[in-house]
Amino acid sequence: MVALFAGLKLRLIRNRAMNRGDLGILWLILGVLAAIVVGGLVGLGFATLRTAPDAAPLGLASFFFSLLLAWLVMPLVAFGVDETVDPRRFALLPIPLGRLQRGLLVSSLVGYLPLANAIALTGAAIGLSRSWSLLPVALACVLGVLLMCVIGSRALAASMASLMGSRRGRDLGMAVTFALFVVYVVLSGAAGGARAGSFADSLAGSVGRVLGWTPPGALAVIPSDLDEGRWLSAAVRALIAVAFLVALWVWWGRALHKSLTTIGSTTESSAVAGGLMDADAVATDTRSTAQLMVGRDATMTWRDPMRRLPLLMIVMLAVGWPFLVTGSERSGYAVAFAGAMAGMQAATSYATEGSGLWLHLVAFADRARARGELWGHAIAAIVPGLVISLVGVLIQVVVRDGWSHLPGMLGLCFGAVIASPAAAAVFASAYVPYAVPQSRTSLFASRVPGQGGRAFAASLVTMLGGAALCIPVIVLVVLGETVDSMYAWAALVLGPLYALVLLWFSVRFSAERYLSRAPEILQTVSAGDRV
Amino acid sequence: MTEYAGAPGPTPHPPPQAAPQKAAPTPPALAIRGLGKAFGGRVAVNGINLDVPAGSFYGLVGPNGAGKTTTLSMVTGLLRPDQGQVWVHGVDVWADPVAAKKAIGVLPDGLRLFERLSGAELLSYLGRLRGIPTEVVTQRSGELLDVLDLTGAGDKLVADYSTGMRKKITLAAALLHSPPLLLLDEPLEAVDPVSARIIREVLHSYVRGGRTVVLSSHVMDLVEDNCTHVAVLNEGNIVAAGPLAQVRGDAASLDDAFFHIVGGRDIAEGGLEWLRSSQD
Repeated sequence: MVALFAGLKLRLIRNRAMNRGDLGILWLILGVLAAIVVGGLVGLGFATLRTAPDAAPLGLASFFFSLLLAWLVMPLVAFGVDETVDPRRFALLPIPLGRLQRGLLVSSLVGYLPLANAIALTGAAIGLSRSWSLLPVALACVLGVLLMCVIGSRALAASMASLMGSRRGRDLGMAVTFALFVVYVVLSGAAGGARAGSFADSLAGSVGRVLGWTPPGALAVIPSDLDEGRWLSAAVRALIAVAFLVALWVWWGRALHKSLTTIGSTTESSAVAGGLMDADAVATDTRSTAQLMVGRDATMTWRDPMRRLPLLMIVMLAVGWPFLVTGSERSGYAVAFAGAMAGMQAATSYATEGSGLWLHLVAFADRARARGELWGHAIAAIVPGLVISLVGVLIQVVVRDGWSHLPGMLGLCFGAVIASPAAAAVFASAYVPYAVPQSRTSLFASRVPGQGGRAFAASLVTMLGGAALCIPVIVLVVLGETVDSMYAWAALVLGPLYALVLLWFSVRFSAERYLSRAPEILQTVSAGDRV
Repeated sequence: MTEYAGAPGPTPHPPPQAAPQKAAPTPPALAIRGLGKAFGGRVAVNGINLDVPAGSFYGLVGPNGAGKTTTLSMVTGLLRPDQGQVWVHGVDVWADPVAAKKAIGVLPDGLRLFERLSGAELLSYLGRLRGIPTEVVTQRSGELLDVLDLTGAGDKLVADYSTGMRKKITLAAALLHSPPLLLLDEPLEAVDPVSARIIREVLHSYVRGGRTVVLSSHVMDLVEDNCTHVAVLNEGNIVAAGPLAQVRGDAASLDDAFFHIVGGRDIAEGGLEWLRSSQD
C-alpha cells in the first residue's frame, strides 16, 4: 500500500508535467534539478554553521520553527494543487485508516518540496554535529523536523478539507496568501532598514533560546546538549518533540476519519451584502454599456478575492514600495510602477470571466456594446488606479518634501503609466487572449497549463506596449526635471489626454477583434475553468 | 483539411436544397444546412441538415460524444463551424448575429455564470445588458424567480447555488428577453426531481405559447415524455429525425428505437460472469 501511494504521487507529478506540453518532461527534470540545487545551497549554508558551534543550535532552532510554520500555512495557499492533499479523494476506497495514513505520509514525502527540504535539512544535521559521532543523532533530529512539517501540514489540510472545498475556504486561502505577501514586504523593508548591532544580536539570541524549547526548535538543540553533557535537558527536549509528533499523528488520524465520514460544509445559506452598483444603467449604447459594466466589475471586485487582492497589492506597492526603493525627494515617481500595475488589470478583460463570457456572447453582437464592454473594464481598472496613484504620490511628496516634483509625478502616473498600459492591456485582451484560472485558492496560481507561452506573450504585449506608449509622457517628465518645470506641467495636462486618445483607438480596434473572434476568445479563456 | 461526408446513413428527410428565406410564409424555427466541425482531424459534427418546425418541442438525442453539444454550440454562436449555415426564424446566425441573438435563449451545459452576483443581480444585469428597460427586467426577473422557485435564493451568490438552482437561473436568463426559440443543452442533467419538474412545466408552458424548444439529452424517457419531435445524432451524423412517433416507428419505446438506430449491442451471454459471483 505504501509503495502504491508513492507510485501514485510519482505518476501525478509525471502527468502534471506531461500536461504542460511537449516540454513538460524538460520542466520536470529542471524542477528536480532546481530542488536539488536550492536545497543543496541552503544545506551547504547550514553545514558551514559547524564552524560556529555556539550559534548553530539557536539559529537552526529559529529556522526549524519557521519551517514548520511555513508547512502549516501551505495547505491554505496551495490546497488543490496536490491531489493527495485532499483526503476526500480517497473516501470511497476501502482502505483502513491506519494504512491510508501511512500511505498518505509516504506520498507527502515525494515531491520537489520534500526533496529540497530533505537536502537542506541534511546540511543542517551536519551543521549541528560538533563531532561526527553526533551526526546520527542530528540526522534523527532533522528527520523528526521533516516529519513534523509533513504530518502537521497534512493534519491541518485534513482538518480544513471541508472548508477548503467551499467558496469561503478558497476565499480564505486567497486572504492568507495576501497576508503572507504583506508580511514578506514588511519584513523585507524592516530587514533592509535594520542595522546590525548588539541589541539585535541579543534579541535574536533570546528568541532562539525560547524557540529551542518548542518541538521543532528542541530538535536543533539536542545534539549540543548531548555534546555538553546536559542529559536531562536533552531528554526533556526529546520528550517534547516526540510528544508533539505523536499528537500531530493522532490529530491527523482523527481529522482524516472526520473528513472521510462527514459531509462538507456549504455556503448555500450565505447572504449577499449590498446590491449591484449602477442598478439603473441599461445598455443601449457604448456609454450606458460601459456604465453597466463598471458597476458590475466594481461589485464583483468587491466580492471576489481573486479580483480584489491584486488591487490591494497595488495599494501596497503604491504606498509602501517607494519607501523601500529610494530615499530621495523624487521617490513619488516609483508610484508609477503601481499605476502601471493598476492599468494592466485590464489585460484580462475577457479572461477574468472564464467560460462565463458566454453570457455576453449570447446577449449582444453589436459594435456599440462591444466597445462599451471594453470601456467598462478599462474604466474599472483605471479609476482605482488613479485614486491609488494620487494617494501614493501625495504620501511620498509629504514625507520626502518633494512638492516641486508633484506635477511630473502625477503626469507620469495619471497620463502614461495608468491609461497607456490600459490601452495596451485592452488591446492584448482581444488580440492575445489567455485563460485565467477560475476558483483558484492562490494568487500565485495565475497560469493555465498549456497556455504559458500565450500568457507570456500577452504580458509582453502589455508591458512593452504600455512602456512604449508611455515614451512621450516620460520625455516630457524628464524634460520637466532637467530643463524646465513647464514640461512637467505639460505632462500633467497632456499625459492623460494623450492616453485617453490611445485608449479610444485601442478600444475601437479591440472591439472589432472581439466581434470577429468572440467564439475563439471564448474557447481560449474557458480553459481557465478546468484548472 | 478535414473532409466532411455530408449526412450519410439513413437520413429520413431529404436535405433542403435551398436556404430558407426570411420572406417565406413560415420559416422553420431552426434550419441547419451542412453544419460541420472537426477538432484536430476528428470530425465531431459531419455536415448535418435539420429543420425544426416552429412551435415544436424538439429533442436532440445521442450517445456521449455524438456531437450534441458541438451542434448546439455552433447553433448558438458559441463555437464557429468549419462549414455550413444556421438560420433561426430565417435569420442567419453567423451572418446576422445581432438579430439572431435576440431570437434565441440559450442554456449551455458546463459553462460558468458570473459567480459573484446573486441570482437576482445576474438576471438584472443580463436583462439590462440586452437593453431591456429596468422596470421590465425587474418585473420579469421577479416572476421568473417566483415560477422557478428561486425567490428565496434570489439574494444568494450564484457561486453557492446547487446544480439544479444553476440550471434554473440559467433558464431564467434564457427566458428573460422572451425569445421565440430556446436552445437547451442537457437542461435536466444532474437536476433534482423537484427542479426537473418545475423546468419541464415551464418549458411546456413556453411551447404552448407557440414558441419552440430544442433540448439535447441522452435520457430517452425524458425526450419521449416531453418532445413532439426528435433527431438522433450518432458519431456526428443525424441518423434519424422527425415527429417522435415516426422516429420511434414500431419499437416499444424511443429507448428501443434509439438502441436499434445507433447500433447498440446487448451484453453477450456469459459476459461479466464474475459479477454474478461473490468472490473477489
